[in-house]
Amino acid sequence: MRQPRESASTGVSNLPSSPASIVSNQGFSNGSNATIREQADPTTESNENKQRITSAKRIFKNLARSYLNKRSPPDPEHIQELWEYKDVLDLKTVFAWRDEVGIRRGVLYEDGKVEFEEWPNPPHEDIIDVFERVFRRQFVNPWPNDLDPTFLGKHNQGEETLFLEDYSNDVRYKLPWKKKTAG
Amino acid sequence: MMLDTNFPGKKKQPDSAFIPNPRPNPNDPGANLIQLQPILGQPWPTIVLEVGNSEGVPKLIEHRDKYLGHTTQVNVYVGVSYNRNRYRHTDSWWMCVAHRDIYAPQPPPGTPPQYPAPIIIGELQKTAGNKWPIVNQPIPANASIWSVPTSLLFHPEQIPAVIPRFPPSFDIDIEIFRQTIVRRRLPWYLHL
Repeated sequence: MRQPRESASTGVSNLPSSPASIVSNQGFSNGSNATIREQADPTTESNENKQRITSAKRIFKNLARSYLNKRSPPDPEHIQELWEYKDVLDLKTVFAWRDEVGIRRGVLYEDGKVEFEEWPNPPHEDIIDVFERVFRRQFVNPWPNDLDPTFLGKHNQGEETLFLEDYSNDVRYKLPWKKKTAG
Repeated sequence: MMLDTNFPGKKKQPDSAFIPNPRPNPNDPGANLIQLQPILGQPWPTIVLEVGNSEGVPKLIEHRDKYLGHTTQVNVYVGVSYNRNRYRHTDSWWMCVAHRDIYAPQPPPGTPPQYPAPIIIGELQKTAGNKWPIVNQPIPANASIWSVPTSLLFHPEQIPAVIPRFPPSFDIDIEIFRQTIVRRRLPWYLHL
């Protein structure tokens, strides 16, 4: 039996590890970098991070408003501007901004990168409905049982990401300086 | 809403999915072969639907190959894409039904998630003009049913013994999907 992966970025084993991990590893593996990081003024570093987060938030909100107005994903070039700030973006931050803008769906987050899904225009929902009707007619309805149907159906929005909020406190999605390390 | 599927590599879900109930089935000898999804700890659905609106077909094909790859236990993928153009008579569509190659050898460590290659039951092909089929073009009756063996809806478990018995296949009439697109794609006022 194959064992499930533990990482959130499952199934993409050839992808590099998350940006947060890269920064963290550099600090340990490269002696000179580690020295520089140790000598850096924490106040200055914190201010730089705050400035970068502010810039990232401004870009994100512009992208999100464009997404809501045009009902289509923003241009890739504009999204890539946001990716330059992936080292300061974590899941919790992105979802907080998303809620501020008022988007309930369509925002994807992975390894610091934010993406916007295609807007589900008609006949998106109709195709889902007909698929479910056809399946239920053949494999569920002939065996009526409200408590234990033969199959359980999950009608999702392909862009639904609310479940990830449950994991926003997971250490794997924290920024490096927010991770608690042993010792 | 409860999450059911963690798509490999992206934080997204299929548009619809079904899973046998119960899964794993404690009365089935294959129950110990059921895998749990990463993070979620739930079994994988055995059939998923993905719908794209003007979404690139290559993207859906990429998703299909990952859904049916070795990192999941999804067995059947149904994909539908509707490409809306400037005029309704030029709108095109694509549909594919594919299933897992359940006889493929186990992959060595590091194998890409697209392994093994899916087995295509049916897929609309590009026309002579290198374009996807026009959605206004009906599907011939003798080519409209794509059948998925019922065993794939339960694999690696056996088909449960129920009365009446399950049909031998899940039959998908793609003409129904085409007609749904034709009827529902227009704004309501154009139905008059």
